[in-house]
Amino acid sequence: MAAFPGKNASTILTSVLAAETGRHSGWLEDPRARRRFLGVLEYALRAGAPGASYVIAQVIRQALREGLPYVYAKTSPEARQVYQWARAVSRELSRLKGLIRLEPYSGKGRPILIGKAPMRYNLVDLVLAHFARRFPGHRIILDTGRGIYEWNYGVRLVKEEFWEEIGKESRGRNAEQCAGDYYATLWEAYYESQIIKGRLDISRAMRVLPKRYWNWIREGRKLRSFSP
Amino acid sequence: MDTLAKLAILGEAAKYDVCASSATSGSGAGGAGRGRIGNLSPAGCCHSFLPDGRCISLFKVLLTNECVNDCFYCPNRSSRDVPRTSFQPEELAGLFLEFYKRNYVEGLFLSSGVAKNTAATMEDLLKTTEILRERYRFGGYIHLKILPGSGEDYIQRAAELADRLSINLEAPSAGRLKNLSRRKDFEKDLLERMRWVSKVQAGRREGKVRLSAGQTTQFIVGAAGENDAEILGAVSRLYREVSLKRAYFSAFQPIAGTPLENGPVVPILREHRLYQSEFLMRTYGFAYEEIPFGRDGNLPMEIDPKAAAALRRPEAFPVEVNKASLGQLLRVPGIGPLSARRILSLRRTYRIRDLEELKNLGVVTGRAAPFLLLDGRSKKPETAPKQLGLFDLSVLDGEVPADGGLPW
Ligand code: SF4
Repeated sequence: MAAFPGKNASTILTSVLAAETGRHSGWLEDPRARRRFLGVLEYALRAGAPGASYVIAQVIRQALREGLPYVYAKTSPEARQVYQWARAVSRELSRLKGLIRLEPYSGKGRPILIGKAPMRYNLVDLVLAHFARRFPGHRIILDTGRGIYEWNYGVRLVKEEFWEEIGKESRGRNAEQCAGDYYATLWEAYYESQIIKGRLDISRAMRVLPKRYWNWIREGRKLRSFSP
Repeated sequence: MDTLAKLAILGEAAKYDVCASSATSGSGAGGAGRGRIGNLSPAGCCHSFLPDGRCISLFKVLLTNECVNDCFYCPNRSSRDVPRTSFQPEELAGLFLEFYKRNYVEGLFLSSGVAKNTAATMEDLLKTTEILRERYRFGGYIHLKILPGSGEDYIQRAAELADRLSINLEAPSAGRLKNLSRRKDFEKDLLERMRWVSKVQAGRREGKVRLSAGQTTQFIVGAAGENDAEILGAVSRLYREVSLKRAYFSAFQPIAGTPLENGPVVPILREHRLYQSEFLMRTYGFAYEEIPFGRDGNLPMEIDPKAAAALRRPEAFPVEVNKASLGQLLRVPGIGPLSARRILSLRRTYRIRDLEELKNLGVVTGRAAPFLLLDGRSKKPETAPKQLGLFDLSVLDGEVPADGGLPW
């Protein structure tokens, strides 16, 4: 048996594991491949499907026995299922990043940006982290309808008193309905200015942006006016 | 005029400019992050969609629609009787930042007519960008248009501030440009400036240059009497000569009150075929000579260029999936760069035997099957070959990540 050079217990552990588990488990010793694979499994888990951990365990076994390409090729039904979950979650995350509108408030402390969106999957931490990176120095709040969260070196639940602090009227308000926000009106005017009448193709618009997202965005009203 | 009215005019005036993606490969000099508002993203992100399905990713706007030039197709040409207005640099920078904070957009695409003269307008464009970068410490994506005939120092400064620069060629050659503009000199005002951008970009690692998304250009398709071979020939030269990142195409739509108002409306399908072909050259490694132009120098309309190229070379097919090189796989209709790489990777440890496995790798088997052998045998697809949808390539192009950027 080969020696297992390693700088620490963790690298020795993965080397031993790789040697013990199958011909194609070399990827265990490649931190990038490992991270990527775990990232996909992590996304799949976030779909929250019943029995997901069992299916994921199967896929891990296949990756150790047959190699990662076997799994990435979705050769087994389990790998296909995991891919479907991960893809759905990844798509939804991309939409959340693009379509959640933020409502700015300037209170006593740091300026606040509030986003409101229902979550189909468990993505609160990723969405908050995304906006926190994008807006350093701001307090990022996310209201999912089931809870209010903020980013403070990790996800924290926000107490109800928060709404007292910034004015209760904003609570139930969809960020896109904030009538007092002049910039929302400007945005709508801008959106209208980009429409090219000769190119209208609402069925394509519905394909790329399913209707359930239309009421997240103020311009959804405009889209609706073109839809059959 | 208030901001709302200006926005309606200057947004509308920019709507034919194309700028699909805000994806960049790096953080650029001056750095995103580091306490700055805004950051860059390796994948594009759509923040809205228009009723034609186009993604809105950037705030695309003109600084002014005043223009001393007379381009024959342009709604902003000097002699056209339209309301004129301008943003002040402060006003536009502030407006953009408010849009950005509300997450309406991923970045800014700033263009302009030529108000008094090129230098004065370039200064205002740069000032707007400087306010964003320096006063507001904006670290996100900015695409800045370089005006024809801009000075070298303006280009240098623009490259220090913007992630992407573009100079619109509009036509593929000096002769064709004459059909579109009396004043623009193809070689001096446009090509030479593109070379300058390329030179500045080459020195990116050493200095303060940002330019993380390189330079691009745009063609108005069908307004100058050119054919597709001329356009793609120019694009292919620009890749080599000025490290063009990509080209955009805008199908000509005649505008009332311009000398070309009675010109032919160019079908969007032509624009799309150009995108597909440009994609083949840029991402699939096709040589210009492999693009299947017809006798008239135009791309076929009834079939997508990749399928047409494959049908022209029957001797090259079918290819054995388990042995074909990357280049061979990439020439099979229905196999894209990602699925080709997946095939190569899987082949190392596994023998691919059926179409279902290929489908799982992302291959569009209905299109690919007639061009493939699997383990020495040809397989019939269960579904009839399907023509590539009109906009399928936009999904592949970072404009709308099909799966949110999942790596496999
Ligand atoms: S330079 Fe030509 S294309 Fe540009 S705004 Fe002026 S008239 Fe239009």
